Amino acid sequence: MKNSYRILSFLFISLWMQSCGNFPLDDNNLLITDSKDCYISNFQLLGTDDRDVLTSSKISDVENDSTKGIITATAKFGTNLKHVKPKCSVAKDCILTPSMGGWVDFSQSREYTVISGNRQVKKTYTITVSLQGE
Amino acid sequence: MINQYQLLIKNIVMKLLKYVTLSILAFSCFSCSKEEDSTLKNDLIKKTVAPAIAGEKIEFAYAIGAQKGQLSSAEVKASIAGAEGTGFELNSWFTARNKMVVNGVTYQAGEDVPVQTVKEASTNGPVSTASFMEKVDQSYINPTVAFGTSQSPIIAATVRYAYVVPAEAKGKSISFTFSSTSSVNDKASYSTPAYPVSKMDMKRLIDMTNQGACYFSIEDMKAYTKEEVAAQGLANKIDFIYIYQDKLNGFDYKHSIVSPGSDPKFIAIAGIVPSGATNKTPMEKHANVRDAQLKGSAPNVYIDDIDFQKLNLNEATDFALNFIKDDGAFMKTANGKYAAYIYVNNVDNNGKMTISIKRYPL
Repeated sequence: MKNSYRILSFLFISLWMQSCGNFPLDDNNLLITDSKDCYISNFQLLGTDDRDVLTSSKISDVENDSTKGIITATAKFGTNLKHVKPKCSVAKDCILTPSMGGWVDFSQSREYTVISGNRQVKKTYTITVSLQGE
Repeated sequence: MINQYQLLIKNIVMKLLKYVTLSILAFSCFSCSKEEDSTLKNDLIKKTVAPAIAGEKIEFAYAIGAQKGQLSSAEVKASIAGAEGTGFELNSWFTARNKMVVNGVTYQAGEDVPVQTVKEASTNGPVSTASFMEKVDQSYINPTVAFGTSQSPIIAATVRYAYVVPAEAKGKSISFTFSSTSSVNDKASYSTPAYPVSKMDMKRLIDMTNQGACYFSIEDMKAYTKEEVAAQGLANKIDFIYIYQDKLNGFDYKHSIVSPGSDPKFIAIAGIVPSGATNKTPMEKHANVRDAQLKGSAPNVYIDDIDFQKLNLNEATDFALNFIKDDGAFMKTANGKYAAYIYVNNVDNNGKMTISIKRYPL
């Protein structure tokens, strides 16, 4: 019984090490995988109270250009767009540049680029937020 | 020749240093051994973890145990005399192991039960004293004995001491020396570290009503009516106005606060700004800053001086909309004199908001 456990553990560790070994790391120590998916699936904008200020948002592709996307959103009446925190969901293994999570001025359109897990596909989104009542 | 003199002087200084060091060591050992030899032992817990704010209490639990004789008295000396209300409590407290009835009051298991251990307590300037009772219910000393069956000499007790922070301590540090004496005249003492006292002021549970007492002055920490603002010439002291309206131009508005100088499109009620009021108060709404002192209950999270010292409202607006219970807003007065946090204790759907404030002089 003990031997069985040893053999199974050895096999498991070997397989696990092998699987990691297939994927190199990028400059930020993130795995470079074989995923080609490259998109933003959800976008949120948080106010100083950490609540989502958006009443609606739409994510779309630019026609005939798979390297570009558009996000248009509307923020609640009275939102201070000069001091908001963007947040989004991306496809599996993607990275985003510049990163989100800090305070950003969204009173003007901003661009964010998603890079696929295999780091071969890029898609740049232009995000435009308008205010209710304006 | 000079070298010989220098050597001689050096030798004399070294010998003197040796004797002085030995003397200090001997004295310190003597004093340590006296404290350790005492048959009276003591320990202390600072119960209050909140920032020390003028007018608020700092509570301590001072535990004393006599190996010989019984407890006679306890004393606390504060480095700055406390405000009214400072002193020892007459009761000690123990935790009920089971449901029990004491002096006609029923306590469930786990609840604190009071039992009088202090006969007299007084405070004179920075010194508070307590003299112990001769006897206490034996259950307090030995919990296996049923409460109310017998009395026992007080050989050990934990007494509570509350220090009310005086206004003159703002921005300074305070420390305390607790001491006690037993019936065989043994002594014990405990000195606390220095605790910083906040520069903040605090006021809780201020009612504001839509189109009533809706004009707030951070400097006065008070809500005024329009009539009071006009009669007392307070227009330039009004930092924000509370307005309740379900929607403004079809958009959610509800419980909102605006500066007198805010863009009129954010002021739901025309003509509400008092004549001469123009302050633009930078403010930033927050939802998860539930200060336990302002809220009046746990969790033990506190806004302290450092939060105001680091407060940056450069990107803030001069209004904040849609407040609900437990929300709040950091703000600074337009003249730069004060920073403040306004906490919303409660709102109703009839145009009433109850707030509490912590204010820090900049």
